[in-house]
Amino acid sequence: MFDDVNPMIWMLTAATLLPLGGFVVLILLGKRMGRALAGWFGTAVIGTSAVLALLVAKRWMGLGEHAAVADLIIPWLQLKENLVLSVGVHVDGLTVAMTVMVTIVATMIHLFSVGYMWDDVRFSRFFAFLNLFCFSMLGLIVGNTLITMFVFWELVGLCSYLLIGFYFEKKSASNAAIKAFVVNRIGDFGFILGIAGAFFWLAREASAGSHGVINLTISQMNHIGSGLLAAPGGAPLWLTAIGLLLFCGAVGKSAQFPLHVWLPDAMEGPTPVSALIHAATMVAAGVYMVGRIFDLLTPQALLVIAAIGLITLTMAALIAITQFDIKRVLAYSTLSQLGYMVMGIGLGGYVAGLFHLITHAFFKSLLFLGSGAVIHACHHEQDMRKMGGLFRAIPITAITFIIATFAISGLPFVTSGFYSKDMILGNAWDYASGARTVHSTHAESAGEHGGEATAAETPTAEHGGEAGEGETAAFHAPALNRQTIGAGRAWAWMFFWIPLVIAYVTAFYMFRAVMLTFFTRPRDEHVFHHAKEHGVPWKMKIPLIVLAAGAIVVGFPQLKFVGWIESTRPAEAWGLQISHAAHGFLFVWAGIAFAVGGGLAVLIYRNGFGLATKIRRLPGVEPIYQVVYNKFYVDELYNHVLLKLTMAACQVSYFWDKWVIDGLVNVVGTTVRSVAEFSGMFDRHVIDGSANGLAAVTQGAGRLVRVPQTGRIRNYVLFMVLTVLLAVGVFLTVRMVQNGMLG
Amino acid sequence: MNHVLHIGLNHYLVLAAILFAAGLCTMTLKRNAIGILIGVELVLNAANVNLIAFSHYGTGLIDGQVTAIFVIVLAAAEAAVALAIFLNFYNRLATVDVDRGDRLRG
Repeated sequence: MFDDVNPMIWMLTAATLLPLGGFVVLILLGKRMGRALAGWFGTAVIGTSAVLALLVAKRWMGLGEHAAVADLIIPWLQLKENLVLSVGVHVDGLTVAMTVMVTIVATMIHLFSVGYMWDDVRFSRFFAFLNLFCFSMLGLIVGNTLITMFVFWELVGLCSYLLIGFYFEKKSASNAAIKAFVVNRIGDFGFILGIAGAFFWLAREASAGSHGVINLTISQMNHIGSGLLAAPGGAPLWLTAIGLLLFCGAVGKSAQFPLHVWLPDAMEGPTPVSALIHAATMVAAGVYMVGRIFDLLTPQALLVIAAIGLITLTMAALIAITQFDIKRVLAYSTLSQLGYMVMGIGLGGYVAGLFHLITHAFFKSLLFLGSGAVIHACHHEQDMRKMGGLFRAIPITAITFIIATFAISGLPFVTSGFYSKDMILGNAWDYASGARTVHSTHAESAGEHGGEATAAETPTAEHGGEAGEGETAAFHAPALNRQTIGAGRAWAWMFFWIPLVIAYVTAFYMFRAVMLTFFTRPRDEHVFHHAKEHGVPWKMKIPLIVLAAGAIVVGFPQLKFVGWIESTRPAEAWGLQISHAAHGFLFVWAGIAFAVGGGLAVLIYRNGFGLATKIRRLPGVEPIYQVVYNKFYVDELYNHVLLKLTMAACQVSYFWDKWVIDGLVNVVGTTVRSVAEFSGMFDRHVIDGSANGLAAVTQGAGRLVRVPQTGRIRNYVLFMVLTVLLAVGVFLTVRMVQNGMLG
Repeated sequence: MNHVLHIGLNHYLVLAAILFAAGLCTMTLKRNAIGILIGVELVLNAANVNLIAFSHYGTGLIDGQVTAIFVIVLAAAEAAVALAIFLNFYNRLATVDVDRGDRLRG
């Protein structure tokens, strides 16, 4: 088994490290390479990664039932005898699905950027950052511990900062970059606390039981977590805390409700970056992480997660209706779709949430690249009020954009978005109706899983059997009922009805964007003609076509994305266990959503803004419209509350600083100063004084002695004579006194 | 009364003192280098007069005269050296005014 798996590890490692190499080369040599070489080099690097990922996928598919989880565990820190912090690579179905998605989408975005960014002055640097971004995301996906995940998590944050602020000459762009970075830090703070908590508690839990060497990989954590969840007394409170703290990271990175404010502002980056952030690299990380740690999430934590997802998806979809900037509409639709994913996972729909992540990546990157092509053609005009009628000018962009719109609105059976959204709604139905509460006991093991006969789970039964060997055995020992709180209660229905209504809203705002951009009469002649003359270069058309194909086909079961994701949690995965009741009618309602929402938008906006403006004039509509248009004033709320709080804290700190800290420092300073002054005086007057005094005496003596030294021989002779005379005089006087001659 | 002036030792000593004083005055007051040299000669010869006088009135032998001869010889040598110095002095300062040569002033 190991021989089969090893090459995949190496291939995925290579696929991850290639973009890093691309980044290093481009950042060092990019300017000398010239535009064409730098752009194609960056694209080729990530393209090679995509080929490697596809080879791994092919291999994985070829292994079929023998496909097994592969871990490359490298011990990093030996904490105790049987406790090791490790890093390494983890390959399972989810890894394969994610790497395939990320590399393909990223390759298309690179290719698109060659055309889109051609006129930019920092062309090669853009590709260097794109490559670094892909490296970070791939590292995050293949890493097998929370440590590696956190490192790459932060790298992803850094890259988003660099790329959102790519036009840093623009004040708004650099502000948006800072905002994204800071808001993400808030989430990351919770994330790292959660990691610390997970390491601490789970290691303790594991050493209490007998788990052999504890290396704290994510798989092992999940194993320990599922054991705790299955415990008869229910999971401990700290597990809920860890789950919620880890989820904080996802709230920041995947832009969920309280921290969603950075994502719309991230539109300031170049459009390919928006596509990358919204589809493949940045926001996907949060949902992916929540999926990875799924077994650490207690029912309480899951309920919170589901609620956050519900709030996000509702709010964002409503805001999207009112926006005029084409990229902002898409940004809010991303928020809304992320809300779907998070809510799906929160309702226990592990497969549904992650599957929607992958399908969404394709059609959302397509939408963004399409909007990029539109903006490029319209000479950097983003306001839909100045577009209109562009279908005639850029038909291929329009068609691909419409395909993506079909996908996100959930055109039944044909598009990928239908399958994934349907799955999420199915989960919500089952949760709300209580179809799941009967479902499990922890007594059953993976092997017996197929024997358990509830109406809901037939599709997974096969998977439960097929992966029940080797290392995977650890994952699905107990089959767990993952979401029990509130299931079957009356209020639980809001988790079904609201997302269903929002599905209609989704179709509405997306068709509104399509109508305003591509149909109706052109509202600005200049923009229209520019689009008509310039069109869209082939480098930008190819990615659109490829991604349009992806937006249609990734949902098909033949492509195995669902199977791959499901193979990682066979027993618990509820994604396909949608009850027959739900299966029977859901697609009808989803189809209606597509038709009703879309049709309403077409009706209202078929002549531009005329009818919409009339609706706004109806009594009572305008205030609501203003609230929604201003994004529910969340930014303003943050500005006011946080600003006031910060200012108050600043004032307090300022006074503390000024009167207490400064006061102390000043007292000490004054004391030291007076001591120093005294010492200085002593020095100046006593020490220096004696030295100076000695010098002065010597100098004075010298000056005195100097006087007779005239240098004139005559004077010397005179002195000599006088001295002799004096000596003689003294001599004679002494003699005379001795002889008594002087009386 | 025919007062014969009897020349004795004191006369010689007074002469020598006068000579000495004159030489000394010449040395101290003259600014001319040659003048100073002359003053020195006067002083030396005052000493010579003393030597001879003391010798004559003392032992009566000629040791005073011999010493005086030595002094004269030495004076000649000294004059030669002094003249050489003055020549250099003149070469440097273009004058024989000794007050100009005050480089030793402290």
